[in-house]
Amino acid sequence: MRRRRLAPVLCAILAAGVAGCEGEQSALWLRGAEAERIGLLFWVTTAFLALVLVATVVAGWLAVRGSPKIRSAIADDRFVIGAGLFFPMISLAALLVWSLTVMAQRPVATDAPFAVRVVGEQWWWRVIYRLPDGTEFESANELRIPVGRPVTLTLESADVIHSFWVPNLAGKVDMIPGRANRLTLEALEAGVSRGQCAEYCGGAHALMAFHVAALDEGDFARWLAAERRPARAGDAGGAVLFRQFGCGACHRVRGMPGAAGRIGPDLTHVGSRRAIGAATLPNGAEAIARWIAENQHIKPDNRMPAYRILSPAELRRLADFLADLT
Amino acid sequence: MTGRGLVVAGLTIVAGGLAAAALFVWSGIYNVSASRQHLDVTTWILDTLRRHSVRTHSLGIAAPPLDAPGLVRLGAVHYDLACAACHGAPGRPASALADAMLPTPPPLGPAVREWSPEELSWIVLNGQKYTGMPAWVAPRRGDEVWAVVAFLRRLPQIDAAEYRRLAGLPTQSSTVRAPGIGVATDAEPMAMCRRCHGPSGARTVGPLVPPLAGQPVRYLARALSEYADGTRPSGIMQFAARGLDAAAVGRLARAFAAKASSTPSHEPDPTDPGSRIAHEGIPERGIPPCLTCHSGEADPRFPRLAGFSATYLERQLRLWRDDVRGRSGYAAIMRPIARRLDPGEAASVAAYLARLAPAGAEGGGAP
Repeated sequence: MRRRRLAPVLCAILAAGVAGCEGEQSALWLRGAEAERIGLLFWVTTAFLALVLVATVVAGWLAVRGSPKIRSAIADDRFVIGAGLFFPMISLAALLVWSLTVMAQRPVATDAPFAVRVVGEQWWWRVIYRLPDGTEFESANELRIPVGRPVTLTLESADVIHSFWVPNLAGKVDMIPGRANRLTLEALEAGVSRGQCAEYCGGAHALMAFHVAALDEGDFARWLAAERRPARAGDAGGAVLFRQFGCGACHRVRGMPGAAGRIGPDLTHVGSRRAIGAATLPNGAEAIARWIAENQHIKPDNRMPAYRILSPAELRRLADFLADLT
Repeated sequence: MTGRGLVVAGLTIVAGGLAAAALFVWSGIYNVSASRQHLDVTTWILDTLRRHSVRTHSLGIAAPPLDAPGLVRLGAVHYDLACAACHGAPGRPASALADAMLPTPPPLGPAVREWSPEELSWIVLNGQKYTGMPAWVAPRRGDEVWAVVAFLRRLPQIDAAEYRRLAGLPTQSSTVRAPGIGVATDAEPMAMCRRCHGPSGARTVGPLVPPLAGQPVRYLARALSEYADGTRPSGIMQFAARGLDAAAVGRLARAFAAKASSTPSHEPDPTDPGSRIAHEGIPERGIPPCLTCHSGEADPRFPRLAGFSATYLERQLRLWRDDVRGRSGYAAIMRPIARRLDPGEAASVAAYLARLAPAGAEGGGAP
């Protein structure tokens, strides 16, 4: 009776586990070279431990229920010394050597199309691309990389310790104030992964996330060409509101006079990003309007003041202007 | 008598006393009218209690310098508008209504000398129970009462002419006085504003009072309505602005803003840390440059800071920091930014902005 009741529960847990493997933030959906090596380590050690567990259970069962011959063999000194001392020593040493070799094989960025600095700030990610010709441009809370080409990230922090983690692609690397850590990402297939700050960094830590989009070569080249360009002039009325409410004091929009702020995210192409507020809301004019007026409700304690003072018409127009910055 | 007998007797006396007291209250024999003096003993108890209470409660207060420029004149105007109706003033008798109060509000000449400035400030801020003396309209603006205290300390020495000069009244009595315990005694609200903010809204009674000339109409209208409904606390301005209807608010805002002077030049001074905050902010600490929102083409609901005195700006930054000005949608923007400035930075940026007085304006303060 009890066993029959347990079965559906076990099935549900298993199903949830399997479903979790496919998530854009799952460590078991292996879509990067680093993640594959971590996955290999995980599965090999897990399989080994499972084998040892099964062998121990079987030996325990035989020690109680086995024939006298088997029971005396298990009780024999040779078995105890062999299986209890030599087997763990040899197998664990072998696993250690193997895992060290696996961990040593780091992808190397040889012909990277650009260098990227990612700076953790309370509570968002500043992303700075630097092209081989020396030009630099900034984005925020979204990283785009080409499939199949290793890209080395320099990870820094502007305030406290953060940790950069995109489980689909690689392991965690801490961002430490005053230090530049490196992480090489190589996406093996096109698609979007989600990352999350993995070190508690203050009030809005849980809402400090980001996306990494791996693009095929052609798509990537097109995106890069568009992203490095300054913003195109959009609705003039919206631009006036942007200036009038002082948005440019904190936010840069390349190509727009009076919008050179460095405090908050660069908004030059904010309309082309998947999400806003550090992957807190899916992007769109509606979401941007909500963010401007209610960001302290959506993401409490974030550094941007809530602009409740805009009339609905002003809010709509400013949000449309920003959503059009693609 | 046995021990038990004593207990019974005691309880009986207590119960009898309580019953008598209840009967006294219920019967209504006691006369609460203001037309009959207290019993001598009641007067003595209330008076002693009041003196000791004021003395004890003002122990932790430290007075700022009371000779700060313009403090006495600001206090004089507020006294004339808010206090003189009950307490009278040189050349101005108290309202007849005040004579009929119990206790009668004392004329504040020599009486003021009985109290230290700290005690006076506590009385002005908190009012007095059982006397009809109201508390300061904005309980969290203890910083404002010092103007009144500074004036009260001067009061015993001045004559009627000096009083009229300090309170910004014309030398010849031409204004109509409200006979009651009036709010504004001026028939025309504009005349009331001018007493502190100056005839053209530019030359104010002192650095605590901001010049209004050059501010956008919508900012002035917003400030007046926020004062009127208490969103922006100020015992002086809440008192002056209450009762102005929307039409009057608009008329006043337009009248002062119309006197706008030319836009000031904002040339950064790289040697001055205040200039750096005003023009560039402190990006690494999330402090945006002040002048992005507070000059030129910024939204007309934001004030233009050039021309405000350093004293006024620093005071406002402190009110933001202490969370006194924190209720409107505008406060939601300014409050977090002001709280990122430390007091030294606030002082340096206030000093820099005060130097940006609009060209052609008469300047902020005259003592």
